Amino acid sequence: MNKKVKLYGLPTCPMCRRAKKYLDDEGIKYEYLDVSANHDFAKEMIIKSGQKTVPVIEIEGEIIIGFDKAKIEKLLKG
Amino acid sequence: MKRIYDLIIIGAGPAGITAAVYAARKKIDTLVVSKDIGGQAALSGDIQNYTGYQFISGPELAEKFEEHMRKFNFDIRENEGVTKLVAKQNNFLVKTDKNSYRAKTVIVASGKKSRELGVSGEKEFKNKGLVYCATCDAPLFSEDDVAVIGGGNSALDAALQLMKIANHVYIINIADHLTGDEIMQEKIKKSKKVSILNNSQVIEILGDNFVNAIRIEKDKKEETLAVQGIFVEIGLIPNSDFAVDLNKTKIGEIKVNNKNETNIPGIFAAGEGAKATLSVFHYLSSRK
Repeated sequence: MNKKVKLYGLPTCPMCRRAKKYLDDEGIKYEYLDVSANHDFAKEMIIKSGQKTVPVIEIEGEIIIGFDKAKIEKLLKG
Repeated sequence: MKRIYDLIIIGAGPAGITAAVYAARKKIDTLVVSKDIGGQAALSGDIQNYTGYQFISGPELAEKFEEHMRKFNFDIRENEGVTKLVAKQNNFLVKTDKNSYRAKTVIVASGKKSRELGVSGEKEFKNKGLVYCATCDAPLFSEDDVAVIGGGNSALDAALQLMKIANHVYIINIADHLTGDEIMQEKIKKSKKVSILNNSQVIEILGDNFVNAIRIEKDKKEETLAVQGIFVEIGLIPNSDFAVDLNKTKIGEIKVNNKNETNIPGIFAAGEGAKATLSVFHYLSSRK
């Protein structure tokens, strides 16, 4: 089953680039939301994660703050 | 029995990666263990002083480093922070928050991390408006009023990034003048969006769920500035706590001689990777 994955990020942030590259390399489909391009994306991310840093990754409603490979893998498999 | 590498490199910033590239070319059996790839360089905004690149962004330079490193075939463990480095049975044991590894030699190239302010509210509001990496998060503060703490190159780099997008930028500098490069100071002083507050010290970070103000003392008078973002750029401290047996300076820098040797034979330390690997190569040759 394909899980719904969202990546909130910024073009300048090194960890967002790493997260993107990881998802691309693993062939995982995801929606990329550039929070600098759209204020609503930023607001949504801040409300969902309760904090103000990127990247934030959402997998089926679960929130991961930062690029945490182990957590991503766990949520994708779980 | 557990594999024993010839060399473990702790850290994958410019020094660690350079050390690894040299090690690969010398065919030294190497493992690189690091929290991240690119280190502090990856967190810089615009880099204009790296020879060969008149201009490159930190993340792009880090990607170039990684590309270069991955050309060679050695083991890399990313997202692992080293917690302990100790001598064990004629070799060394490197413990991380996830695993442990053994090697005949170690290069410590773990670099530095951001120095914290040590004021009330700092821990509470970390990542809630209080930021240690402008490159990472600055665009989240567009149209906000923000404060940059510090007066050196990192602080000015942050201010330059922020003045493009924020409503207003306060630079809160403890010294009586800015110490960052003149070329950056000129750009900042021209901007109407930036206020430079010298002789100023942070006392407290205030807010509810997120930062909404900062209390400072300027010229012995207290004042409160309404800001939604605070960027702490007051320098760096060495990541060397895990290396308990190494001789260090008062602030935690590992002491080395001109061959990058530490006080323990077989452990080397580097802020410059090439030289450390050459010393490892000679040390391994002499052990055989």
